[in-house]
Amino acid sequence: MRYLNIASPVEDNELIQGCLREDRKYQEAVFRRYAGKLMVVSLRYARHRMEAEDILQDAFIRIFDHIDQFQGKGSLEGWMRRIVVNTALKNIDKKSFSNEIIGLETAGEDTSGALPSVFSQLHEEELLQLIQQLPDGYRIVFNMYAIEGYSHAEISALLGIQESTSRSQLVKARKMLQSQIFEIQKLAV
Amino acid sequence: MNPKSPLDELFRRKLSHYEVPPSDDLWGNIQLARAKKTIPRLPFWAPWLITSVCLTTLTYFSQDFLFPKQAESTASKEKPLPSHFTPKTSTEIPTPIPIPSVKPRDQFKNVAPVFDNSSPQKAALMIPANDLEQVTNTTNITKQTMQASESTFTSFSNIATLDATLPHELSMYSELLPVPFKKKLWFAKIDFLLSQDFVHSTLRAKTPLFDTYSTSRNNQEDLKISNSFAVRMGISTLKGWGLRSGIQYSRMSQTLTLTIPDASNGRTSKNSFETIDIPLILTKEQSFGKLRAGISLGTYLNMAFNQKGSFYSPSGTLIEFTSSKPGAYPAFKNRLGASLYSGISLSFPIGNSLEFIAEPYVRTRIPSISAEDYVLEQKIWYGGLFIGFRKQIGKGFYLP
Repeated sequence: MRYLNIASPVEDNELIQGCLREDRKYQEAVFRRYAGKLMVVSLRYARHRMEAEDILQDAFIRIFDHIDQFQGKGSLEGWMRRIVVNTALKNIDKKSFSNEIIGLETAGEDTSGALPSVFSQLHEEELLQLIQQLPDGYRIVFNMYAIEGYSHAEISALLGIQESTSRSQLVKARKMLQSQIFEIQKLAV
Repeated sequence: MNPKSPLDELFRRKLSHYEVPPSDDLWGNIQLARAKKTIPRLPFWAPWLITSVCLTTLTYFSQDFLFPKQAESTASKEKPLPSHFTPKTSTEIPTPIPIPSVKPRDQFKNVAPVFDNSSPQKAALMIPANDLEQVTNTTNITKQTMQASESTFTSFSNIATLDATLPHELSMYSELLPVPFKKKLWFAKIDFLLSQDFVHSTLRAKTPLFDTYSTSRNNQEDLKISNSFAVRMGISTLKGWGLRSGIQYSRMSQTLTLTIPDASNGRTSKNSFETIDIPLILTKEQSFGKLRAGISLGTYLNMAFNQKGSFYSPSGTLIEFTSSKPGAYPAFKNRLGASLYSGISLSFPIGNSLEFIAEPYVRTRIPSISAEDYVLEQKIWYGGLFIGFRKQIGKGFYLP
């Protein structure tokens, strides 16, 4: 099979038109261009690589099945990222949030200060591993709030949980991440 | 915008442009999954629906003989009598058909005239001498039937019985027979069959890259055994032509020792493939004394619904393809296929409307049974012997 040269400046619009025609060359070009970035999104929500690949596979199937619904209002990458996130959220067990104690949120967030220098020295791979080690509820809320930029109200609506639960999960996620990073720092010293 | 902590910003900044390549086979899996979704599958109840439609149709057509009294009364009310067989008064006696004075043609060299002066209804016929006895018998039967009923000629069931006794060569005289004689008498039969078959499969690499792999798989995966159970409904004519359909369940099993390069001892795998098939078979049978022999040719609609087992991949790792397990490797098609069937049927009467059947056959799946994206193309041949019973339903029926 002959591949499209994705290094050449093929515009997203052209790729979308090709995908709408169900042309495999263009579908593969979309995959090759964005799979790496979307894999990171998937890895952030999954517990391990195998689960992340399953999520990414389902997401790409949905992307190609529904590419006619992309209205071109934002970037293609942004639209695809949302599909990956939604696909990941589909498989979430709501029990992940039910065991959390509601109301632990503190008004002053304990990570508001400047971060120690060791934080910025962490590699991307290490940061991904830290996220993956979080409990399901913490991981999902942290991803949605801190990285995707959803508000607690949106997270509450998307996950079907209370806003207060979302806040408490975020606080706990941050605390756990901080403590894990400090552990890494201790080991490094 | 929500206020972000430095920790959030750190994660966002570092991960937003980070890329991790997925595994090499992910694109292939996506293509395969999409291809599967786009091909429509028959619902699991389709075979039963088709079979029940066949059975209902056959039962409807054979109801004349399942409920003979009702059929007779309906026939006597509705069917007008043919004029030349209606009993006439003495003033309306037709002139007998004259015997030709010219020399008969070659095909009528051995003919003899049949002329019965005792009955005004009889006509003189030119009939080959070989058939004379049979026609005389027929005439006698017709005579008896006519005598039995002064006002009406005969009923459908009597004609059917009579027709069943006629040799097919007499169709040349059908113009002289009552109208119902022109209709073909059909018989409905049901077969219950069991078979054990040998299955031979061939594996061919789609690209030369996998030639070694296909050769080693061909050497490793030897003969398979299949067991089948079939129920076939059929209709057939007196001349021996028939059409059969029904449902068949087959389970192909195979025990093979996987010689995996990194394993010191081979691993035994029990693989199985299950299908439900709908045959559509045309048959032609001929009687040889009590024995009936025939040829069956047709097609099978195959619905593969379950595969279980494992084999090894080109890289030497074990691949599980059990279709019911999530994440199993989709090496086989799990949908409709077709196969060609040919067999020789032998049947012998063993009781009232019951026959013993033996039918050696061969069958081949036309398309490959492996999935489109799989590196090998696998085709299979079946050869076996059906053994079972054939039961005739009712006595026979006419198609409308």
